[in-house]
Amino acid sequence: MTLFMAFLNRRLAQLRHRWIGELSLALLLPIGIYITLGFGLSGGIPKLQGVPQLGWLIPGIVLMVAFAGALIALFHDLFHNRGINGFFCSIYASPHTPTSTVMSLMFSMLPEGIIRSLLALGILQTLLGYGYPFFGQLLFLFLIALAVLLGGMVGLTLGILARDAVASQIAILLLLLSLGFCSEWFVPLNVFPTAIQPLLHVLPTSILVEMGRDLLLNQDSSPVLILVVLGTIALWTVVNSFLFPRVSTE
Amino acid sequence: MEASVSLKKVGKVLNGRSVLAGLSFGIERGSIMAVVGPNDSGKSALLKTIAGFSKPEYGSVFIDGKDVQLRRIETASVVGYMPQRANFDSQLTIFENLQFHGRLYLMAPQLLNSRIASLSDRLGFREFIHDFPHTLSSGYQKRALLARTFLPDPHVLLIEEPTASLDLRAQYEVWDFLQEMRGSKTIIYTTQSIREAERVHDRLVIMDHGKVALDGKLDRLLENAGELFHFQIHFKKLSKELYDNMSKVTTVVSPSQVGEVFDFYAREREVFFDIMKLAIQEELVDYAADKVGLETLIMTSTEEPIR
Repeated sequence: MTLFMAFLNRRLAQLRHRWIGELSLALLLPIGIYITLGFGLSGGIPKLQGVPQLGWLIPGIVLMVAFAGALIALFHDLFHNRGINGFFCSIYASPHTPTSTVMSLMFSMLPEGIIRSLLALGILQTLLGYGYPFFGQLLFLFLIALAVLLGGMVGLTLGILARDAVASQIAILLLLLSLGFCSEWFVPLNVFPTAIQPLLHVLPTSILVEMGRDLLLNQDSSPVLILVVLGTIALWTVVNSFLFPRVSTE
Repeated sequence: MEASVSLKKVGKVLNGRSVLAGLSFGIERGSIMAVVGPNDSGKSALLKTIAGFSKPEYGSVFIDGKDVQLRRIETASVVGYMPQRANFDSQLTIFENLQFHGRLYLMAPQLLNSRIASLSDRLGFREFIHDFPHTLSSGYQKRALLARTFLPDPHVLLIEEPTASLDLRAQYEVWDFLQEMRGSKTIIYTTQSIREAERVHDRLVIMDHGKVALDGKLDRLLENAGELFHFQIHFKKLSKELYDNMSKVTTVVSPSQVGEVFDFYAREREVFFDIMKLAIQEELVDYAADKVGLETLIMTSTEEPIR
């Protein structure tokens, strides 16, 4: 807990120094994605009963904001502060296990990720002119938290392993773009070939957005699948704990 | 006296090259050990291995009797490691960096803030404490880095090049600070500066190619080196044949040719006259003869020259 607080305070201090940029991004990014996708993909979005059509898109955008926000922040932190800078070497030299450090780093992203996503959810509902059920939104918070953790894990791995800044940024862009489409964030999975649809359905990111839509659009939900997401996060934590000592050996 | 840090046959290989070759020695509690050596002699690898974040291929390092690889968390809490280059989080101010570091070591907030205040005062960077690291000169960055290392009050300090890039005044301040710790902290520092090593040490280790070339107190090392003399004879023209003849004299140690200068060491003054007999026909420009100090002792102990 103390280590988590150390990382959380560090993150808050970083945000304090560039709050204008962070806030602008938090406000403008969801609007930008919403308008782009709303105009561009409205033909492929399923029609909903009693809910504006673009209401289908919003859970995907919010989860993407949560996932991508944590991924980019942790990737940048690790990539920038290891290697030549070597800051993470001083963290590795402190009396903590790699697992506790990795978990603290990841959980320190939760408050800002949740706030950023809630802000996006609020803005998008205002633009849509429709409010999702309150209880559904409350449960959706849990999915946002999982998306932040999942994105944080990917960001950590990429940040530890990346060698080249430009190549890594292109890789992240491609990853987010492909996840955006393959995880049902922006388009329904039935636009993909039937053969690969079952595979895409079990992606943790697909599970999150499907459950999110279930909660916000009052559809049937299958909470068992959340175990796949939790399992993925747990497994990825183990992998990152194994990789983390690399930050000190450069 | 009790050993605070001990190494048992520690070996490390990097990119197929042995950077530490079976080192075994102990370091007394409260003593200051200077590790001197040329580039790539294994100084930095030694400190990182003692700190526990570079794993040796074989052998073990113990701090207070605990294996640093097997009980890393316990040993890491009593070790402070200062790298050669400032490695602050560039997105935080110096104060925030120090606060984060203290929190990493689970320091209570009140103690942490008072330690930051006293260390920044003592090391003379308090007026810059709310600045970002990249806005400070490398000298002030170094002072802040030293403060960060001392912040959690570790009793074993591993410091790489403590005064590199500092001006003369700051160098004295840092050495005064480290001298104050003598007796209460075990300090191991690396340096390429022979003058620094001569000034502050209880023990001197000279490393070369991952091995300990010399180990002991300076006066003892010089004593053991015996009456070693350094000669330089400047000829108007030093031919290869003459150089070869003079180098073949069995009492000549480490001969080398620098331009038209024949440079060599010898255990007796008389060797100089033996050499002069060989060069009696040649035209001399100048000559020099010195008794060796640490600098020449290192030159004769390592293959690479150091400043």
